[in-house]
Formats: sequence, structure tokens, C-alpha cells
Amino acid sequence: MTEPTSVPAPTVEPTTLRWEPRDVAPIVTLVVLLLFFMAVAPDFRDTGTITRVLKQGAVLGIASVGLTFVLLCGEIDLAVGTIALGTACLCGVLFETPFAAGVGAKAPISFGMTLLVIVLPLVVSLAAGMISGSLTVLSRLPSFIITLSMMNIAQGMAKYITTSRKHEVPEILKLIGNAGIGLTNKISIPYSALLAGTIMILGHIVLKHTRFGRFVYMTGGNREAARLAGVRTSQIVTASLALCAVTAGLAGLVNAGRLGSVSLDQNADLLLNAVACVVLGGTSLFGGEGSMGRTLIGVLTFTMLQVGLADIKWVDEFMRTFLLGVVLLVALVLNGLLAQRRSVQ
Amino acid sequence: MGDFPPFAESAQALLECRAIGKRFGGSVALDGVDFSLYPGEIHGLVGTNGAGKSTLMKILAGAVPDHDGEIFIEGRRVEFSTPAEALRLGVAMVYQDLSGVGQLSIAENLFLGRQPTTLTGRIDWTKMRRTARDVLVEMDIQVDVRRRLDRFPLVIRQMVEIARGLHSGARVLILDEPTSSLSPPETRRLFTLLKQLQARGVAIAFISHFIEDVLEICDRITILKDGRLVETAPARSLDKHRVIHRMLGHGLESAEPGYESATTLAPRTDKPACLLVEKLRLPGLFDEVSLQVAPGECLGLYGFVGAGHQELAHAIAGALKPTEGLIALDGRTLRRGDVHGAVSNGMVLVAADRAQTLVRGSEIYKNVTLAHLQRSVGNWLTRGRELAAVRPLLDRVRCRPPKPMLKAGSLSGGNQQKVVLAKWLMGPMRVLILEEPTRGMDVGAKDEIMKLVLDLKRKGTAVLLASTEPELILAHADRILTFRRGRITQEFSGTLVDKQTLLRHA
Repeated sequence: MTEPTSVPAPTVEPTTLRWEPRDVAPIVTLVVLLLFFMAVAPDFRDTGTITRVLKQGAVLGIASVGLTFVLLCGEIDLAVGTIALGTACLCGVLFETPFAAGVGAKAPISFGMTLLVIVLPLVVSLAAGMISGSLTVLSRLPSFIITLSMMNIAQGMAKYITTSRKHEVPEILKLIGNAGIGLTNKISIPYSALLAGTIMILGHIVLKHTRFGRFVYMTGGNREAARLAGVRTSQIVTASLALCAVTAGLAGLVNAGRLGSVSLDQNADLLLNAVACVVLGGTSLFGGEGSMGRTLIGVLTFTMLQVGLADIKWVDEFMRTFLLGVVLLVALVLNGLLAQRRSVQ
Repeated sequence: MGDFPPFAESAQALLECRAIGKRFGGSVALDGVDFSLYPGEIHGLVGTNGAGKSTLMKILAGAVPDHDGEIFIEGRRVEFSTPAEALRLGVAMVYQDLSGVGQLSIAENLFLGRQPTTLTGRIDWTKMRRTARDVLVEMDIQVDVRRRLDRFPLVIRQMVEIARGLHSGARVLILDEPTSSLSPPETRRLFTLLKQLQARGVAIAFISHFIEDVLEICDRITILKDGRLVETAPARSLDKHRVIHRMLGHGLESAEPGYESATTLAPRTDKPACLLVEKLRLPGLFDEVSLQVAPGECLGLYGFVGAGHQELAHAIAGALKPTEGLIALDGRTLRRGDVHGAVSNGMVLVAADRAQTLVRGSEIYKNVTLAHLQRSVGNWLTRGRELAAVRPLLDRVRCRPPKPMLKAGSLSGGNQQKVVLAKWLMGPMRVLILEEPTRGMDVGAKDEIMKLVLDLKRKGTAVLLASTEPELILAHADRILTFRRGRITQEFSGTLVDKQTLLRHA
């Protein structure tokens, strides 16, 4: 008992490679903001701005890499911020144990021990991500719920192990967070930005040139079709969430290094800022569409917005967050509208 | 029923429609059909797929506006453009896929949208439950009306839907395939209820694929074919053979070309089977299914919608997980419900719903390489390599336009299906499982798809073809299994079969 099916009319096919409004919109936003800030804020015109943007954007950039994978396969990870915090706290606590540098980081510490103090927390964050991932797949609950719980668990762990005390972190993290390769006396490339760039390039390669990356896209594009094609979609989802937790952890470590120590008030905005970055670049929240390049543009736009707003004289500190929100809203809605125009064609 | 139906032809019809017509786009779904319902009558409506049964009933229920012809209720000309208007005039429809809200209680479902309220405007729960209980008891249904609807078996849910229609004042009930997912005892229970309602003067239109059910419960039967009325006759004057004969239109018009005529099936091959299925069971869908297919053989699975053969196809491919039974491929037992395992052993499924087989928002080439990514491109993916692997396949399946960079969703249905096939052609295929592979396609695309399948079969792929279209099965299957209510009813091999025989066993 079917209605007589009308044969779909042959569609007019688009030319194979064309710049879509959706692809261009984030770049336009970036350029417009750049020009705007250069026009109104004299401080922003300084070449040192490049260093400031890179330094501020690095942490966000690292966390956004993993989050891009998660959003591409149609999931979300709400634990990004607290896993970053938890990882950094664990690192700080380990660093201050008597085996390592001791309380107040007075004792000398061997290279191997430093490595352990940094790698172990990352392994723990990986485990946390794998737990979120497998529970999401196993329970068939939305990752929203599972990672919401993981968010609290990570935060609680951070609080428990640090007893809300500030902890020192290894010198090398401080170095990564603050030093850089000086190009001129004003411009320097921070190590953290180099690290973020490397991870982004790695992420890009994985997404574009490996089977795992392709499966991430297809799982997000149509999970059932991917499953019926033999893709083990549960493993893809689990791996994406695990990857996201590791990059979040790394972002947390770099951030602690940048700030010189770790305390519970760090990374509070990291999750939402990272989501904003990824989406600002044009990656879909529903999976299947986006890329690492877009995430990069999103991160640059967002960071420039933060830096630029701080440079405008007549925007006082108390207005900044408000304006940041407004500009984000406008940019996201414009991007969304442009993307719609394409799907209608 | 007794010897005489409890209505007189001379009485005024409760509902009458004359010369109903409806076109969808360019095709005619209904053409000048007359239909009438008397008080206390159960009127069966039968016809093959696409004969126009559902369209006619949807028009009567107000779900399809803009039709030709006139509808009268008790002699008064009416026009409805929404189901709500039809219900106000006393016509209620119970759809095959039930529309009740599973998360609400039975009482809430009965009063959906018109809950009794107290003077202060709050919902009067006590009254609602009491009335619900009374209404259902009157229909001989004893249930706890406070429990959620989805905790009850299908027959109860169906009865609740019927009760809802009646309670809102319906005198005409339209039932779309009410027995297709019911077990025999449940069907009996439904029939008892229908007879009770009949005695109360309710007029019932009964659409069904199950000719026995129609013959048993109905007073009159209307047979449709290709949107036209073949005849309306008292059920007593018909038997199953005759109904099927009329449904297919034999003797009324010149013989149709093609597969209408009988086909002689090949005898069973003596080649050893490569796919072996034993006692597969998934409660509510199918049970006790055993079958085997040899390389180069096409086994047709035929049944009506809801007969379980389509779900069986999914289960064999691992897309659904059967609770019991064995699936073995080339002597190796496969894990139940494991698509990845099935695919890596060369058993693949082409599901009917292309929302399950295509990533429409992705490019064609990404869809084609998805299943055999490593085999086709290797470990390092580049667009160039993928395109090089995909292009010859698109030519082979004659995808039009053969442009791998297009989004898969921009293709027509037939070409989308070719992309799905191309995906599987990328790797070796031992068993190809097809579910309605040509549904909704034009003749040209159908031919091209089935030619590809035939080609694969010649090269030694075993094919399982699950369909509700007897023509397709007859034209392509070497052996046929018919299904009814989740069980195999008959196997045909080495004999002469025709459409009528298949329909009789389904």
C-alpha cells in the first residue's frame, strides 16, 4: 500500500569544486574583525598583537582539536573544561609529592620524573575519555548526559586531590606556556602555539588522510548508514571522546604552565569557548561537516575578539564579556544563515 | 456472520462516495471509485500494492484533501479537509502504525486532546479514569487504565485506538491493516470486538492484505486494481481464489506484459550452500526461520508488509540482533547482530530505506569507498586515489551523472541505489542481501539495478531478495520462500509458480 511514487527529477548538479558561502563566511568574519580592531584600537595595530593572540589562542586551540572530532561524529563532550582542570591538578599534586619535587617544589627533580608527572595525568585523562565514550555507547544515552556526569567527576577529583590548594607545576610547562622563539624583538612564536599548531596539523592529517578520520565524518553524517557499511561506529565514538579528553588534558597542562601554577579556578570557560570556536569555524553541531582548518579559523577569530576587545580604550573591563557575547551571537547567526542558503540552493 | 447481513441494501447508506478520484503528480492513484458503507456493515477493501486502498480510505478520513468526486454522510454532501473535521462528522481512522502516545496512560490516550476538566479547569483524573474504564469494559477490554499504553500488546493498543474513535462519536471506523501484526488469538479477539461493534450499528471499513481475514469478517468486499473499482460483492459470493483473481485483474483486461505469466523455477541446485540460517528467531518479527542459499543462486523471500521477511533480511546481515538461531557463512558461524563481522566475511545488505544506506550529505566517492576503504585506497587517503578507485565503478553501475564529487543526496533514487551497489562492488561479495532494491524507481533504473544483481549472481554471489512485490520475486528468484506472520509458509523450487500462488501462500 504505497502511494504512487513520483520519480525524482534529475537534480541540477553543482559544479564540483565551488566556494560555498558557508566556507567563506568564517574567513570573512575573521577579516572584518581584524580590520575593525585595527581601525579602532591603536594598541591592536602593534605587531606584538600576533604574539598575544597566539599565546592566548594556544590553549583553546589544543582543546578544540579533540572537540572537533567529537562534534564531527555528532556527539558533545561537556567535560572538556574540568578534565583540563583535573589533569593539571593531578600533575601539580604529583609534582609536589616527596618522590618528585616535594611540597613547594623545592627539591631538584630528574627528567624522567618530570616526564612521568606530565604523562601520567594525560593517561588518566585518556582513561576518563574512554570511560565516557564506552558508557555513551553502552548505555545509548546521549553523550551530553554521560559527559555531564564526567564533568562533575573530574571537577570533584580535582577538588579532592588538591584540597583547593594551589600547586606548582614543572618548569617545562611554564616554559611551554610562556617562552617562545623570538623572531623580532616584538614578535615571538610561543612554544604553546607551536604545540597547538602541531596538534592541529596532526588532527588535520588524521581527519583527511586516515580511515579513522573518514569514519568519524561518516559516523556523524549518518550513523546507521556507516554501521550498515561495516563501520564499528561505537568504537569511533569512543575513540573520539577519548581523543577529546587527552587534548583537553594537554590544554589544561599548557594553561597551568602559562599561569605558572595550578588552582581550581582555571579553565572554567574552556569548554564553552572551545565549542564556540569550533562552531564559529563552521563545523556543524550535528556531525558530519567541518574540518580542522575551520576550527583554526574559529580559534583565531575568537581569540582575536578577546584580545581586540581588551585593546579598545572605551570598552571597560566590565563590558567585555557582554560585547564578546554579542559579537559571537551575530557572527554565529550570520554563518548559520549563509549555511542555510547553500542547503536550499 | 449469519446468513443475512444485519443491514438492508435498501436502507440509507451511512457513508457513500461517488466517483472518487485523486492524482499524485502525473500518476492517477484513484479513478472514479464508488464506495458505500451501511450501518452495521463490515466492508472489506482489497487490492495489490498501489491499488489505491489506502488513498481511498485516507480521503474518507479527511487526510487527503483536494480529490475529485463527492462524499455523502446519511445523504448529506460533506467535504472534509482535515482528519479532525472527518471525526466531527463521525468518521475515525485507525492507522496501521498506531498513533497513540506510548508514554501516556491508557486513560490519557482515550481522552487525548479533550480531557474532562473540573470547574476550576484542572484535569478531572477521577472522572477520566472512571469513564475510560467504563468505555473499555463495555468493549470487553479489562485493563488498568492508569498504566502506560506502551506496556500493552499491540492488540490492546489497537483496541484503545478504536475505543478512542468510538468514544469521540465515530459511527464509521476505518481500519488500515489491523491484523497484519497480530497473532492468531489476538486477531480472534479483535474480530469479536468488531462483531460487537457491528451489532451496535457501527460501520467498519476493513483494509487488509490478508484475504482470509477479509472473507471471514466482512459482509461485502470491494476490490480495487490500479486505482479503479473492479467490483463490490457480498463476501458470501467470493472465495480466496476468486478475490486474488480479481485483484490481479485476470480475465477483465488483456493480459499484462512481463512477469504476470507464470514462471518455472529452477530445481534446487546441488551446489553446497554458502549461507546457512537455522531456527532464527526475533520475537514479534520472525520465528523458526531456516534457510540456505548456494553461490550463484537467488532466493526470493516474499510476503506482505509486516510478514517479517524484511526484518529477517536485516537480521541475517547483522543489522538486527536475533535472540536465537544460527547464521553460518561458508561453514563459519557468525556472531548475531554484528554487521562488521558480516561485511568483513562478504555478506552485505542493501536496505530498502536509503536513509540507512547512504550518507546523503557526503560526496558520492566517500559513500562508495566507505565499506572497503583500505582495500580501495590503502592506508593513506587522498582524494585523487579515491576518485581513481571510484570512477570505474560508477561507470560500471552506470551512475548518472558519473560525477563522484557530487553529494550523494543530489542523485535520483535509482542512481542513489547504484551508488549503494557500487559501494559493495568495491570488495568481494559472497552473499548479497537485497530488501526492496527497486522500490520507487522507474523501469529503466529497475532494469539496470537488477542487471547488476544478475551479473553478480552469474559470478557466484548468493543473492537473497526480500520483497513485497511478487513481480520482482518471480522475475529474479531461482527459489522462493513465502512468509506469513514471521514464519515460512512454503518453499517453491523446480515448479511452476505465478502471482496468485504466491499471494495465496503469503
